[in-house]
Amino acid sequence: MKAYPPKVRYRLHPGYIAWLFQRISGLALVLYLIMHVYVIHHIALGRQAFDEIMAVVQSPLFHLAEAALLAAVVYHGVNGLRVILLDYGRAADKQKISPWVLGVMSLCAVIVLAGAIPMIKLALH
Amino acid sequence: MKFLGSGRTGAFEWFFQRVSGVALVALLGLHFILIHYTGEPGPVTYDKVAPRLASPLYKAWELLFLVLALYHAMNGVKLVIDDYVHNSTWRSCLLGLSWLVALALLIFGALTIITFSYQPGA
Repeated sequence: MKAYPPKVRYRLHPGYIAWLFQRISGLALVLYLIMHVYVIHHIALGRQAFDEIMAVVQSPLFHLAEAALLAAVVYHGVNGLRVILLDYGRAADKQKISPWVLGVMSLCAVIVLAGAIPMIKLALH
Repeated sequence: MKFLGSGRTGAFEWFFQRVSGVALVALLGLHFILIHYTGEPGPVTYDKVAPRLASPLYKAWELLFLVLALYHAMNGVKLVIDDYVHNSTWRSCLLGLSWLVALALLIFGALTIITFSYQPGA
């Protein structure tokens, strides 16, 4: 008889959403890391090459994308610290997960909104 | 169940993902403050960045950052591949590809940092 794995259906509770966002932001940051290494390597090609590519990545479109990058990086970092506290700080209590996730998301929203103001200003400039 | 996704991978990876994660929060925080809040305002240019990257201390720091970021990123990619790719041939191919990408980025990035020297003037 063929054994079928159990069908697991996840409820969209805050802890699961937080985990999903951690994966998605992580994959986005991997793509960013690849691009970042490529872009910054132009500094080894001399002043002209670096200034040219820097002009591209400092155009309005990229400043808006930078706000999205900030959101990904702040969330990934802050939520990562929450997960570590979950493991070591004896916070793995079901009752405590939702408020912590909501706390992390609010904190990130505040940091990202504050940090995105100069980026959006530059984009509109 | 036959395939357990990332459920069977090592304890070291799990632990070091946390250690490198905390280190990256600190390194990235410093990197961000240094790049966005120090020095004169305005667009980033060669003459603002190059003298900094030419200093050995900064090179060592950026190398550490590169190694930890690549490790953390590629271990994360491995987790995702292990969890979602159930076909072992595909999994091996994707893991091999992620290793190639990681090694290429490591060599490319490290060479950029190590061999860099500031060309002033013009």
